[in-house]
Amino acid sequence: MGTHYKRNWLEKIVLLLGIFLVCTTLGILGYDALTEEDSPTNIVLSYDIIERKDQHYAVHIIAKNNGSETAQDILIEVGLGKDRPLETARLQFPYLPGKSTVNGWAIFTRDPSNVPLTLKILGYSVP
Amino acid sequence: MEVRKDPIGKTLKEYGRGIVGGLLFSLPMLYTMELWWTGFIAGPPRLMVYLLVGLFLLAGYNHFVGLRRDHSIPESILESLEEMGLGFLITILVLWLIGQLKPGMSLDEVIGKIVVESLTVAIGISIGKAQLGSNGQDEESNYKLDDKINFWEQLAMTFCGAVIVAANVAPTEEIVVIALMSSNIKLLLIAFFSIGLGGAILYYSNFKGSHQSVAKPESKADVFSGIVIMYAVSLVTSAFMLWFFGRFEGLSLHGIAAEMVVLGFPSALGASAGRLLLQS
Repeated sequence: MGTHYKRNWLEKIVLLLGIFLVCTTLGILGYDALTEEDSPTNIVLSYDIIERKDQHYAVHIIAKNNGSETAQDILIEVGLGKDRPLETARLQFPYLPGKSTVNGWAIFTRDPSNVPLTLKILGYSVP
Repeated sequence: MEVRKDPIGKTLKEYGRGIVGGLLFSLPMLYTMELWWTGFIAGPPRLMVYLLVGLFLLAGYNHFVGLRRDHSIPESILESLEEMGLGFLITILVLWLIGQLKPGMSLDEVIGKIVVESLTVAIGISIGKAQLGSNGQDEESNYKLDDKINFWEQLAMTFCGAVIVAANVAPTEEIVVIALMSSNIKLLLIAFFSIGLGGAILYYSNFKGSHQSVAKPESKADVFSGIVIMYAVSLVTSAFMLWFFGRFEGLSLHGIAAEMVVLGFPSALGASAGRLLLQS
């Protein structure tokens, strides 16, 4: 003769949560699999804050991937000035997934506040 | 039929053990970069297959070994969903604590990371609930000496053991490096070593749990078939994990076989010693 277990309220809550999380996850993955079109990596660079540190200036760089494919080993160059940059800084990000954003800081010895910045992607690989 | 409802205190203790088990088995994976990256490289169809295969394994474990082992198949599935829910929560907490879930990440990236990591957490939770308790607390868990040894039960446990051990190294670059750098002779020796080690654990070294959970061989043919099944499960597990982690892409058939043999070593260890520990 077997034992029939009845769940107490805590087990019921955890079970409902589990069903909700698994079903939602499967639902989102299924929806993505059926509807999402693969679009190639499309990285857009921008910057916002410029901070003065003790020995240098730091510019906050944002890289957003508008495509759906992941980029790997992204190398970015930031130049101080348009045609012949006075100074350049480089940033590297290991991964930038589709539709996601990563950010970092470019470091300069000169004040970049009044100089136009050039932001350039030097390259990336596809995992 | 006797109806039983556990008090909240007992459930909390059970969940506590489960969470400890989950962390014990999965923390190395939660701390591994390749796994975070697989979450967004794998893509939705592969993640779905991984989650469903994981639930299937979890249900198998709960059905045969879990705390409520006299439960029916639907009950085992519900218990697996309960553990998966806990697994998701623990994964979210740890990934957030170590800075791997943060603003700016897309929903796909977040879900991918959680799915990849939570499966081993959930299997660990199930093992923790069933195996880490003291005898007084979970008197109806675990194997009993008079249990009849069932082939499907053994097969399910062999898969669980292989997954839980191999999952720690499957996503790493080292598997590819070892596979591509090893000569054919070395690969063959790795395969023989895996088979020999697994066979010795199951049938020779008197490993804890081997008497009650490995069918006693009646002839050399039984030993041979047991070892072949153990290694076959190890290779299938390796192939599934390597496929999921994208390690087969762009490789020749030789490269694929070499990777399977290299990962087959930890898988065989899991399919033999790991499996016995899960059942003991």
